[in-house]
This record gives sequence, structure tokens and C-alpha cells, in this order.
Amino acid sequence: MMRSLFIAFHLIIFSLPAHAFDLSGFGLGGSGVLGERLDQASQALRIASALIPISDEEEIILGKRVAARVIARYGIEDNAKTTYYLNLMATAIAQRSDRPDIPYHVAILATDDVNAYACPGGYIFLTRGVLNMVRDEAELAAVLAHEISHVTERHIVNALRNSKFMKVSTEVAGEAFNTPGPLLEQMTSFATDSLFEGLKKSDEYDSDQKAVEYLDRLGYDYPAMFDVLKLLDQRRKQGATKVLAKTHPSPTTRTRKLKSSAKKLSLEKPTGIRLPNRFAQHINKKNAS
Amino acid sequence: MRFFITLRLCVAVLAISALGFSGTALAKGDSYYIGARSGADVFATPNKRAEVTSHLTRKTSVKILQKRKNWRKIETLNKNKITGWVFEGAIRKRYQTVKSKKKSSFMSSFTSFFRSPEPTHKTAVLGVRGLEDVGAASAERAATKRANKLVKWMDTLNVEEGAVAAFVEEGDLNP
Repeated sequence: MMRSLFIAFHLIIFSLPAHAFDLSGFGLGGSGVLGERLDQASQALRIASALIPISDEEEIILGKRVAARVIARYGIEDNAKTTYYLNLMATAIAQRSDRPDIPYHVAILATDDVNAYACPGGYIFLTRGVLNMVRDEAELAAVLAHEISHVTERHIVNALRNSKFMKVSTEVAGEAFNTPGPLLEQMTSFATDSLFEGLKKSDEYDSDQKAVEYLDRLGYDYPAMFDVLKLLDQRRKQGATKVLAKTHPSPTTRTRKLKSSAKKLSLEKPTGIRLPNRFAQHINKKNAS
Repeated sequence: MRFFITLRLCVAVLAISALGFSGTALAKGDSYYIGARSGADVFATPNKRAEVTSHLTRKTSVKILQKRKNWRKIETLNKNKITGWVFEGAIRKRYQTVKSKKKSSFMSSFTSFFRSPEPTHKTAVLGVRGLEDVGAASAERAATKRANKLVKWMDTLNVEEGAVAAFVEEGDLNP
């Protein structure tokens, strides 16, 4: 549908009569009406190209490549028991999310830095540092829900769609996913950079809000999200969140924004379900650190 | 008087030969090429969101005009003379070997005593820094291969529907 619109847009632009550009008013010394019209056309093209859809399959292809770069940077923690537990929890959250139809996979990054990453296509990474920070299952679920919401809201994909890489014809963009080449390489680099350098602040606030919604839907005690932000603030003061501090807004600002946006949500009463014992059974903090 | 003139001439010859070498080494030794497997995009300005003006294929020889953080302003050494900004990581330094010894005049032998060997255009036999470069590239390839395997492993981390339902029930969560 979107591709048809894109093609139709080009047909309209190229079928415009020459006098539509008011060539008589166009002198050598100035941009005139033609320049203005061309600016408008360029603007319209930008908007049209932003509408080019990236399918779930294409997003997963991209996600695999970005995930490989994340793993290459940090390495993976070999802990089957904890990894399975995280995948169970992520699947349970994803089933109640706004995008339950793609598979989600979670792995632990072998770093003590407190951080988490969500690659396109449902590849999610929590660092060993995060697992050591959180105190119960609800807090862990809050971190996972935040990352899952980056995928459900397609934050990286949207950033990519609005970037220059997608200002190409739909055929070329589609081909990039079928046959890996420079364009797919560029898209991967762009997505990886977005991940490591940080998304838009509004995306982070959005994900905080969505995380609260997902926790509430699954029945976890959603104030756990606020507790995670408090913990992050403490760790930030200790200097344990150097990377996170560069890529995310400050926890105090996030808490303030979340408080105001949570009021607008129709949330149930906090359930109080934190499950610290089940968390302790699966996360061995001594081994993790 | 003659003695002083001869002495000055000798000093001048020595100085010119030494300077001559250093100039040659900088000009010929420090050449660069696009080393990234997928080539490199040329940006209009040193900003990843800037307009991509061209794409250079791997092994394109370039010279560096300017440096700014992780960006290098380059110009291609081919006929096209493409100029623009490229990520530093896409550029590799080309290392060159020393020239083999050859017969020379007494004067060149004399001056060569004060010189380091000159670079040639022979196929690179890498020095210590060059070996490090190859080692890094090889390590990067190996890391990517390992990472791709781990992504495939992640794909197998599927949990069964029954297990998720049991997990939710056990935690007294919303079914």
C-alpha cells in the first residue's frame, strides 16, 4: 500500500506541466518560484520516503546484524539457567505488549556496566551489571518491559526510516535486505550507532511509559519501574552507569516525566507482586558479578 | 680559506642528503586506501547524517587532507579526484617495504650512510605496525564470526507456550 503511494507520488510529480513551476519567473540570478517548488517537492519526497515500510522480516534481518555487533563488543555471559528465565519473562511481557507477533530473544552481556540494549527485530540484551542491580522480579520485568517497548514502538526502525539511507527507491531498499551489500551495511551501522549513542529522549520517555503499561497488564507491581529509576540514579552517583548516562536522560527527569504521563494512563491499583524469592532462585548475584 | 669552503660544502651536502631522505619518506610512505570490506561512503561534511556524495570501493587509494575527530577528509588518487569526509575506521595505511640494495656511486654510498632505507612500490611485507593491523582485522573477522554464531544461538532461545503459561500462573500474574 505504502509502496503504491510512493510510486503514485512520483508519477504525480513527474506529470506536472512545466508551467506549474512558473518558469517565466525564473531568472539566472535567483531561485524564484521554481526553487521554492523544488524545495516543496524535496520536502514531500522526504515525507514520502519516510513512509516506506520495513517489514517484520526485514527488521529481523537488520536486528540479527545489529545484535552481532553488540555481542562482538561485549561478549555473552554463558548462563543457561538465567538466560532461560529471562526469555520466559520477556515472552510473557511481549505477549501482553502491542507487538506480540514477533519472537523476542534475550541474552546477558558480559559486562558489569549497568545497561540494556534492544535491537530491531526483538533481540534484547541485559548486562550483568543490570542483573546485579535489580532486587526482585518486578524490577527485572520493568527493565525488560522498557527494552521490549523500544522494539514494539520500532524506535530504531523509525529513526532509520527518517534517515537518508531510506531516501532511495523502494526497489533498492527492498533489494538491500535480500542481498547484503553496502546499503544494508550502512543501515546496520546507522542502527548500531543509534543504539550505542542513544535514541531520542522522547523515545526513552515513551518506553518508560509503555513499560509501566506492560507491567500493569501482566500484573507485576508497576511502581517497580520508579524503583528501577531510583536505583539507576544511585548507581549514576556512584559512577556505575557511564555509558547509560551518555545515552539516556537523567533518571530524575525520567521519573518526573513518567509520573506526569502515568496519571493519564488507566492503570489498575498496584498489585504488590514483586516475586523476590523466584528472582533469587534464578539470579545468582555472586556468580553474576 | 679553501679549507673552510670545502668544509662548508661538505656540511651542505650532508644536510641536503639527510633532508632529502626525510621528505621522500613522508611523501611516499604515508599512503592510504579504503580498507573496509564494503567500501566507504563519502560524506559532504564530517557528520553521519550529512549527505552521502559518493561511495568508494575497497582498495581505492586516497590521501588525507584534513582530520577532525573520527573523520578524515580525503581525496582519491585516481582520475576522478573525489573529495569528501570518510569515517576513520574505513581507512587503512599502506605499508611499504624497503628497497633492495643495488650498486651505486661512491657519492650515493657515502650519503646513504646517513639515510634510512627508502620505500619502494613492492608488495607489502608488513612491519611490526603492519602485522598489528592485520592481526586486528583478523581478530575483528573472528569476533564477527563468533558473534554471528551467538545470534543464531539466540534464535534457538524459544520458550514453549505451556512454559510461559506455567510461569505466569506460578507467579500469580494475570493469565
